[in-house]
Amino acid sequence: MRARVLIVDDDPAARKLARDSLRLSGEEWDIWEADDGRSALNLIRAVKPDVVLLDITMPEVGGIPVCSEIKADPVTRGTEIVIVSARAEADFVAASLEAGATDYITKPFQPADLVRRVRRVLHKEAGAPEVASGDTA
Amino acid sequence: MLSPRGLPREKIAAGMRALILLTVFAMARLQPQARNSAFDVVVIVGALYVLASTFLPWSRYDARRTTIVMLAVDVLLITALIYTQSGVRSEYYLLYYLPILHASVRLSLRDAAGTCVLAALSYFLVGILGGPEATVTTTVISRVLTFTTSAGLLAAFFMMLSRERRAFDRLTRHYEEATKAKSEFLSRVSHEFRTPLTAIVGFSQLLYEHEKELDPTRQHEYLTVIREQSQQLARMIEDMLDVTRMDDGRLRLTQTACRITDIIESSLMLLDSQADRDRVSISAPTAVPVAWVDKGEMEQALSRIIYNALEAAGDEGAVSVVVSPPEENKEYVTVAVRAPGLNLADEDMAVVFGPSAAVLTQKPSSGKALGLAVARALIEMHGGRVWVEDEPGGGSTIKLTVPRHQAKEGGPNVIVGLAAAEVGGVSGAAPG
Repeated sequence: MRARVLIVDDDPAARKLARDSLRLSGEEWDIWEADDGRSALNLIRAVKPDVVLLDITMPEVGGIPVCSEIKADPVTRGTEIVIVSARAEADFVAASLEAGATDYITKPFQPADLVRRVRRVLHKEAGAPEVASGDTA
Repeated sequence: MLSPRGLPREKIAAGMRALILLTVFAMARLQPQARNSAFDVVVIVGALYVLASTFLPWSRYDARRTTIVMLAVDVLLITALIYTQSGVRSEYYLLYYLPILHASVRLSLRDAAGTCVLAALSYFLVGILGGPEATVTTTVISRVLTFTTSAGLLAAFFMMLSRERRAFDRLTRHYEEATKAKSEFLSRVSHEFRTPLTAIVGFSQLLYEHEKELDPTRQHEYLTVIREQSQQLARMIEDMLDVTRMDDGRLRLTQTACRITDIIESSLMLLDSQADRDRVSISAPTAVPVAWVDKGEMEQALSRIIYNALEAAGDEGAVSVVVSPPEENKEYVTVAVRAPGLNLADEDMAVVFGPSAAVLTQKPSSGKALGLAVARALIEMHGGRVWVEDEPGGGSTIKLTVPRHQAKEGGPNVIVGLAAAEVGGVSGAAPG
C-alpha cells in the first residue's frame, strides 16, 4: 500500500522540492499539498494521510497550532507529523515536539535526508528525533 | 566598596547606623554634666528604637518604604536629642549627617535630598525655639545658618546627581533596545536567507543525483528555480549589506545633478533579465527634469521599487514609470510607478510604507519588505519621500519625490538605520 503524504508549506518552491524528493526516491507515494494551516486541517480530516510534512511559519494558522489540533482530535491523532522549518532555534524544536511532532527537519535539507526521515517515521524505527540540517549531511 | 556578596547595602547601612547611634547614646549616658530627665528619656527611648529598627532591612517589609520611615524618625530623634540636651548650643547637630549619609548610601538620591531638607528644617526649628538653656549667641546663629545652607546645597547636589542618573538610565535602556532590535533583525534576516537556500540546495541536489532519470523539461524547470532563487538570495544579501552600511553611517551620498530618465533607465539594468526590462515603460515630459541625487544609490532605490512592481504585476503584467512635468513642482521631481496587482493592503507594503520609520525592525519581514525598506531609507536620505496612493480604478501606485536642487545648509538630515528605529511591535520569538 502506498503511503499517503500531505505537504504543507506556503512557499510553492518548497512544496515542489518535497514532492519531487519523494517521487524521485523510487517509491510510490500518494501526495497532497496545502499552502496554509487551515486548508491543511481540512485535508487531514478528509484524506487521513499517514504523515504530514509541516512548515511552521505560515500566514494566519502556523504549523504548531495545526500540530496541536491534529494531536487533540482522536480521529487524526495517529497521523505522524514531521516539521520542516527554516527556524532552527531550540524553542521552535521544543515547541514542535511538545505539540506532538515526531521529527524536526531544518531548511535547507538534503532531499535524500527528507525521504529517509519520512520512511523512518512511517516504519516507526527506533531513534530519537535528530535536529540537523541537510547541508551538513 | 565595603559590600560583601549576599549582604545588600541596606543591611550594611542599618548596621553601621546602629553602631554609631548606640555609641553616641552610651557616651551621652556616661557624661555627667549637662544632663536632665528629658534628655535621659530621649536617650533611652532612642536606644530602644535604634535597636528595634536596625533589623527592619531583614524583615519582609518594602525596603524603600521602611528606609524612608527610618530616616525621617532618625532626623526627629536627633532633633529631640539636640533640643533636650542644650538646644542650639548642642554639638549633636553633626549627627544629622548620619541619616543623610545613610540615604545616599542606598543610592536613592531623591531620598537623600529629602533627608537633607528635613534635617535643615528641623535644625532651623530648634534654632528658632532655642532650647532649655538657650543663650543665643552669634556663633550659634552662624552655626544654624551654616548647617541649613550646607544641607540645602547637599540636597541640590543630590537632586542634580539623581537627574543625571535618570538620563544615564534612559540612555542605557535606549542602547539595550537598539541592540535587541539589531539582533532580532539579524536573526530574522538569516532565517529569510534559508527560504531561497532551501530551493537552491534541494533542487541542485536532485539534479545532481537524478540527472539521468530527469527529462530535459524537468531539468530546465529545476534550473529555472535555482536561477530565480539564487538571484533572490543575491538581492537579499545586497539589501542586508545596504542596511548595515546605512546603520553604521558608512553610506555617504555624493549628490550631483542628473537627468531623472537616465537614472530610471540605468536602474532597469539592475533587473534580472531583458524580459523583465521589456515589461517596463518609461514616460517623461520632453523637458526632462533634473534631480539632485547620488546616481548609484538612487538607481538602487528605483530598481528595488520597480522590481517589486514587476513581482506584483505577475508574469505578464506591465509596469509603467511616469515622470511628472517639472512645472508641477519647483522643488521636487515626482516619479510614479504603476502596476496591476500593487496593493496597499499587502502586508509588506503596509509595513514599509506605514507611518513609522522603524520599518527595518518590524514584523513581518520578508525579502520583499527588506528591499522596499532599503529603497525608502535611500530616498529619505536624499531628502525625498516615498508613499503609496490608491488608484480610483483599483490597485495602487508607488510615488516618490527626489529634490531638484542641492539642499540649503542645515537641510533635513534623516537618520536611518536600526539604531534610529523604534522597537515598538517587536515581540519575542513566539513559535507559530
